[in-house]
Amino acid sequence: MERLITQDNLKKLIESETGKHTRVVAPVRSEKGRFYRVISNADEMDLDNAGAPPERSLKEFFFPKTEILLSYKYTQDGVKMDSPQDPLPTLILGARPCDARALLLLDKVFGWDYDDDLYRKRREGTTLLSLYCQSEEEDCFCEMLGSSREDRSGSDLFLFPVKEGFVVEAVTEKGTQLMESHAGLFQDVGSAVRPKASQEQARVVSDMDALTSWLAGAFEEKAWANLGIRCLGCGACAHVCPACHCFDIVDEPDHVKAGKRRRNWDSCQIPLFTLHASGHNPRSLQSQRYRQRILHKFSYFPERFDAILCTGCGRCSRACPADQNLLAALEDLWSLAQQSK
Amino acid sequence: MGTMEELRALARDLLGSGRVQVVIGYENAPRGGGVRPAFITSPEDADRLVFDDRCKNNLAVYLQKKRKEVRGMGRPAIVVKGCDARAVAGLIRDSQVHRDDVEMVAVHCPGVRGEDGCLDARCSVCDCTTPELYDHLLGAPVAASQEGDPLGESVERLDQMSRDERWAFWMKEMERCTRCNACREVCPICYCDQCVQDKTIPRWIDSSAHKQGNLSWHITRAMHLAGRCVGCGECERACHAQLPLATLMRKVRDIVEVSFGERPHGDPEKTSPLGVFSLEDSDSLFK
Repeated sequence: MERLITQDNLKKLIESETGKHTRVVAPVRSEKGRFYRVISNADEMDLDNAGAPPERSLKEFFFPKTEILLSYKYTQDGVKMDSPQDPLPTLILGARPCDARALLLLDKVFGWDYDDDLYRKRREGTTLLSLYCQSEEEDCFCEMLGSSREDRSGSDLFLFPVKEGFVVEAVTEKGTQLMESHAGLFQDVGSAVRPKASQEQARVVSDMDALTSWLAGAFEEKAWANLGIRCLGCGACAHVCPACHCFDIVDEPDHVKAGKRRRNWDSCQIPLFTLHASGHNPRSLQSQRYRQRILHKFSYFPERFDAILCTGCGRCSRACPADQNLLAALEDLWSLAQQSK
Repeated sequence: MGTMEELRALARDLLGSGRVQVVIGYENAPRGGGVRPAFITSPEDADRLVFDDRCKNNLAVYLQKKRKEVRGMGRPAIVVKGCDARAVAGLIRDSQVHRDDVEMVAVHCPGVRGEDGCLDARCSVCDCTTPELYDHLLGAPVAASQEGDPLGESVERLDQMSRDERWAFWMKEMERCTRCNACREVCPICYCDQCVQDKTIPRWIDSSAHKQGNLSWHITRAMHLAGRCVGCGECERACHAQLPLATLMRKVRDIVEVSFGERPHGDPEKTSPLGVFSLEDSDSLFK
């Protein structure tokens, strides 16, 4: 189903959803940059879909940067443990396709060998409205990975900005239900014309499958030393990445008799990530850690889950303080792969 | 000969003669039109080196002991701006690198600029356009690009706030921090092998990215750097969440100046104000 909604009616839809029973998330522009943020009124949102995607991805609304797994308390009757409350239903508006698509990657891990109910409940309780992307950023490469500016994967509704407002396409049953529950705000698409991209992205790797195959045997390549040489091992790339999902678990006492167990974002780029209690570190060099990042995303994850753990959003390259660039690294690896044929 | 030609010729010479095995400098990034850190190991590659107002990175970070692969490349030459040279001086002062183990190639710098051509905030009121520590000094002296003092103005705005307002300001900033540690890793003076934040027995600083954990981290980092931070502003550049870290460190610098009468400088022999207890230190703190 596809219908048209005007800007004003979209605001009305958001206003009716915003409130204590639903949280609404949208891109918000501030002097600190653009972030996906919980909004309290429709005027806060910025649906400008040109330029780079917001600084961080959507994952923090499903897999927060820090979240309580349980709280514990010593009582006379033993240790009492409390699980976190069920999450609020959430409406996410203005997601970029690269961010929506990444949720399908996270689903594979969080639903793999353990039912991660904290993640699952947030996913089940969220309706996602994605927006056609008009980024012309050089670091973007979703198309190289088989996606596009109008990739609807992971979305419940897909919006195309048009002169009259937005053309809204229902992608899932959940999306259809949302449209039907606000049927009065929508109208016929009529002669609205959808946007078209003005240029294609650069494709530095012409065959990602071939690169993935080559990477399976590339562990001992000498090139890794150079590829990771300027990496400082901070973890910014993992934090801004929509697909990275490694986490650390810590116990934080409030005082002697009570505390919380938390799950926090982690990154394979920091030395601490693989440090053993004995003091041995199997990835003691930064090039080994950088290799791990590339191989996890472009070799191990495809091997296990049939998908590349990357959606080409380019954030890692933009966020890196040491100017590591993922596309440049893939380009170098591709030329090595082709030379070895 | 322009600075860039001088730099390339010097690099060729230093590598060719074996005086150094690697030149740590800047090169054009393969994508995006910016620069990135370069590690030049042979004279033929010296032409990759560039130097202009895009060269923001403080390369002194690569001299830290924990950068094992860079250390493994051999004796380095390092291209330094004024702020970078002060950072190298700091590393020497703190016994992280020997003066003889690094060949300092200094360049006069009028300030770095963003893609929009605007002078970086950290470069306003620069007092070291001519680096203070070096083995080679390239180019001609330049005047500092005085374009106001945005960092000073930010500090001023914060100073004017009431304590509650200032607290609210910082707690709002702390909401965005995810503890990615880019600020720590990009800082040449954050060279600790085991960062206090990573200590677990006991846990002094919560690693969780909630507001109190984030505040603990940033306050501790600021305190640990007090008197040693050179004001290069890399922490703020590195922060993906755009926390006003350069403003925080400027305030710390101001406090150190009032308490100890010292500002960042490039003399590795001079002890850092909080690194040494002197009987002459003011005891106005103890009222």
